[in-house]
Amino acid sequence: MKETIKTNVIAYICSYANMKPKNIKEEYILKNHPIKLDDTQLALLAMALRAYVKSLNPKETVLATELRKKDLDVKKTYELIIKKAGI
Amino acid sequence: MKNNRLFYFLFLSITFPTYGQDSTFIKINEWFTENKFAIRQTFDGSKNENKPASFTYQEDHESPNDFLIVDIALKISELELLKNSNAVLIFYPKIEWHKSTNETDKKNKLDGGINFEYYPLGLEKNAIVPWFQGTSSFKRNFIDEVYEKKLAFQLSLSGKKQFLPGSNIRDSKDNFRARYYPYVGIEYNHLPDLISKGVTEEFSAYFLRFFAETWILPQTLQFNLDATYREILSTDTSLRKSLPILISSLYLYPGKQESFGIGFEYKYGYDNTAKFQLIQISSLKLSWKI
Repeated sequence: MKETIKTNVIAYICSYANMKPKNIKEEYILKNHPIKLDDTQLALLAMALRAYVKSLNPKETVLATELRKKDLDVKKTYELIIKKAGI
Repeated sequence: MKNNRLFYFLFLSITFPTYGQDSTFIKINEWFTENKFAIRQTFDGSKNENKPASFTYQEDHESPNDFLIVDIALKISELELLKNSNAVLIFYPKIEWHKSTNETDKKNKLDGGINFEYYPLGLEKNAIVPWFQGTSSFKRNFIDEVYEKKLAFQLSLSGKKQFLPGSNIRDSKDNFRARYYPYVGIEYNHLPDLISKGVTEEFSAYFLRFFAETWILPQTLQFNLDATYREILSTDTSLRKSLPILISSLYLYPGKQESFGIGFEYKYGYDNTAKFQLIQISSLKLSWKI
């Protein structure tokens, strides 16, 4: 299940960043090169991940302010979602 | 010219040695990051928020004078509401300082206010969605010793698919190359002593704006274009009604980082941040973004 969430979260990030999944690395920071999601895109990504988390654990949510943290990388993002999913 | 040389010397001596792993600037950067501050050129509610804060040495084409400009804005924290809904609503306070010693565009303003962003729809069921920004600015104008007020509300669009507004436009190697946003908005201004001493200019305006950033060299060379057409709706002001302005800038970020850089900016049009007069200015900038 953790692996499924990881795959799905990376797919969401790739979709919002317009990147190919093969070019994504876990250490890439969402805001920085090469992903380069800006605050608007991160707010919209938060809405998508919020719906995904709520489908797994309705008591939890995802905030745009959580995704806008300057040091948030791909790994921390899928770990955050796994934690919120209660797995 | 002497001052130009001084600027280049300062740039070379301050900027390039700072990219070592443990430089003072990197430590300062990390401190701001850890304490959740953001520093930019402005938080005026537009994608100007992508522009770095800058310390500028300028040449005015209209006069032989050279001068200094500072544009720095601090976003302190973000308060998010609607945490369990299908929308995102965020408020944040800001503090800004804008100073220019240019005689034809003189300013020294300390600005505080609260901005908000509202995203009513997501992109999972829609190809493109609207989003809104509101800004409030209460400024101390130290030149005229008055307090100014400005309120603005604007709409933009964002999508995921390549070439839609707000999407990341990439090349065949997946390098990020460009992004753009269109805006339409309205604003209210309360500006004492703008034209005549003792007379307050109070007016509303609508504006159309286009902002684009392009990375000519990924992570190294950035070109920004910011075009605004502003039309004053009120009839009881002696200001010109039609106020277009174009700002283009080129930033170089050495060392595969995007926190510190040097930029060149060209600005032509009616400057709404000062006296709404026609300006044509080229600038060299030291920039800092966190």
